[in-house]
Amino acid sequence: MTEPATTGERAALYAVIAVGGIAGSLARYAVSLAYVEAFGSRSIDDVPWATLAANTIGCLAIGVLATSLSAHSPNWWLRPMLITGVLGGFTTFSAFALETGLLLSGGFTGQAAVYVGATLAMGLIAVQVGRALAGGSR
Amino acid sequence: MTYLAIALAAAVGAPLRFAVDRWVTGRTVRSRPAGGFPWGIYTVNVIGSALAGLVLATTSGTVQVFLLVGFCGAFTTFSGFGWDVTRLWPGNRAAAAATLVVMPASCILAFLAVWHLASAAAS
Repeated sequence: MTEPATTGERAALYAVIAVGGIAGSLARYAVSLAYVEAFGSRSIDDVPWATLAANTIGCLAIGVLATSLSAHSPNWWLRPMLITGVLGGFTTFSAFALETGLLLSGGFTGQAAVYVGATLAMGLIAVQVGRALAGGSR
Repeated sequence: MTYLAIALAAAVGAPLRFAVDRWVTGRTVRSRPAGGFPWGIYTVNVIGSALAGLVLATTSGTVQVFLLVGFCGAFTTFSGFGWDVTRLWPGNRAAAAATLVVMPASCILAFLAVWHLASAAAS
């Protein structure tokens, strides 16, 4: 991404990130509601699959988009909107930390270990699968 | 109502993440061509996780959803973390491994520490 030169360019960059962030965050919230709709409310000792799903999908998407969207595209707004905005908003580290912390402090060490292990493994695999789908080299 | 609250918080959180990430990244030395530990994303994720602890201890209802799901969710990123670990791995395995271990550990500890402190202070 080229550096924004003027105040107007900087404002436009922040605006497209905000728009993408809104879309991504609402989509993440929709995933959590859909999960509750399908499987019922999560009890305190359940692995938080909804967050795991959102983070894994987001990692798959960043593998595809960061590989395929050129930094020198004439559509300068595509990368900041989709990668920084949508995917940054769709995925979350704070919910991952919060849910893991609550599992640990509740004494659900096994579930916390499964959650952390699955989140990290699925995330990294998803990025690599996304890269491969986009035809990028390692 | 909840959607509107999340949208408003995300409209602030996502650009603020970009600004903090870029500010920190611009001030951390990257001596290797492959790049080093992603201090920018580390900073936003640790701050966002600590803030989640404060929010959980001190708020409830729509305000909590606004701050937790909207702001903290948009301010932090997991996809950026996953991308950085896999991007660093081929050229700088130490930085990739450090990111993979230190980032989640720091964020979980930051959440727990602030949550416990704020809960104790609030009660």
